Amino acid sequence: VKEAKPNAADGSAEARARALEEEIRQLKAAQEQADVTSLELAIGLAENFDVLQKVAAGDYTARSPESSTNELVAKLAQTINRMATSVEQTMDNLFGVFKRVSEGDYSARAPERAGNDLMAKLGASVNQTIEAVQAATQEREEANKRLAETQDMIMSLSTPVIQIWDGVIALPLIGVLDSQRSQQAMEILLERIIRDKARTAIVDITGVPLVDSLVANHLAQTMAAVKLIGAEGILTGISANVAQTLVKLGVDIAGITTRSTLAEGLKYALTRTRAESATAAKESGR
Amino acid sequence: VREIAVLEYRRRLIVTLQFDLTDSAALLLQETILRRIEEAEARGLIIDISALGMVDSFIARVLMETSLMAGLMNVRTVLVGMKPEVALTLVQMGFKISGIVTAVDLERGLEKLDELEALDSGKDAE
Repeated sequence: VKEAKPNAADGSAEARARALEEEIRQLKAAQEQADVTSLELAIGLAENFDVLQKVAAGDYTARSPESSTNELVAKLAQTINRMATSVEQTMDNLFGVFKRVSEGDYSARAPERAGNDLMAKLGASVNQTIEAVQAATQEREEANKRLAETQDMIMSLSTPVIQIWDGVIALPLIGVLDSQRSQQAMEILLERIIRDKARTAIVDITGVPLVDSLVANHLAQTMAAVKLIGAEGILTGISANVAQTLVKLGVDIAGITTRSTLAEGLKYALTRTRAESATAAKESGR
Repeated sequence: VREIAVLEYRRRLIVTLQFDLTDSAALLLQETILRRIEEAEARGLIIDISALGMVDSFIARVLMETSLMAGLMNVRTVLVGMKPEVALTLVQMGFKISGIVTAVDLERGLEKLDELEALDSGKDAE
C-alpha cells in the first residue's frame, strides 16, 4: 500500500473516501442495531418488571410474554413465568387444603414434593399443623363424648322411676334439684305412667334438702300433669324446709295429695288400688 | 268438617278424636256429644284424646265444659289418653283442671266409670 501511494494519489484518495463511507455506513447500521436491541431490552425489562410487581402484590396469575425476539428478555420472561406458575400452584394447593380443613376434612394434605425446597418445606410445615389440629380436635371430641355419656348416666341415675306395686310407680328424688333435673324427672315420670299404665305415681322428695321457686313450680306442674294424663300423683317426704318454701313462694299446692313418708304414700296408693279392685270385683260379680 | 264417630256401648258413649281439632270442630264435637247423650240416655262418657298431639287452652276448656255439661245430664265423663307433652303444655300455660276425671287409656277409663257409677248408685241407695 505504501508503494501504491505516490503512484495513485488521486485513485487512493477516492478509494479511502469510499472505504470511509463504507465504514460510516457500517457504523450507522451497528448503531441502529444497538438502538433496536436497547429498545427491546428496555421494553422487555419494563414488561417483566410489571409482571414481577403484580406477583409481588399477590396476583400470581400474571404472566410475561415470552415472545420477545431478544433472547435475554425471552429467557427472563420464561424464568419469571416459571416462578409465578410454581407460586400459583403452591398457593392453589395450600388454599385448597386450608378450605378442606376448615370444612372439617382433616385428611387434606399439602404436597410435600414441590419444584423447589421452600415450597416443599412450606407444604411439610402446613401438614404438621393440620396433624396437630386434627389430634387436638379428636381429643376434644372424645372428651365431649365422654362428658355427654357421664351426664346421661348421672341423669338416668338421678331420676330412677321404679314400679313398686301393680299400677304404682315411684320416683325417689335425692340430692339438690335444679330446674333441668326436675324438668327431666317430670318428663320421665309422665312417660313411665303411660308405659306402665300406672294408676298412682309417688314422687318422694325426702332426699331433697331444699327447692327453689322454679323447682317448686315444676313439682306442682308435675302433679297437675300426672292428673291430666290420668293418674293420681302423691308427693311424699316434704321436709320442714321444703314445706316452708312451697307455702312462702305461693306455689299452687291446693290440689296436690301429700303424705309424710314414702311408706305412707304407698299405703294410701294401695288402699286406693284395693278399693278400685274391690269395686271392679263387685261390678263383675253383679 | 270431618265426621266425629261416637260409639255407644251399654249406655256409655265412647268418642275417639282422631285428628287435631279446630275451634269450630271442638264446638261441633261438644254439640254432637250432648245430643247423643240425650238420644242414648247415656250414663257414662269417655273421650279418648290419645291421637291428639296438640290441645290448646280453648280445646281444653271445651272438653272440660263438655264434661260439666254432661254432668248436669247425669253423665260421668272420663278423659283418657292425654299425651305427656300435651299435659305439660297445658300445665305450663297455667290451665286449671277442675271437675274432670282422667285415665291413662280406654281400659282404665272404663274402670274409672265403673267406680264412679258404683259410687253414684251407692249414694242413690242411701
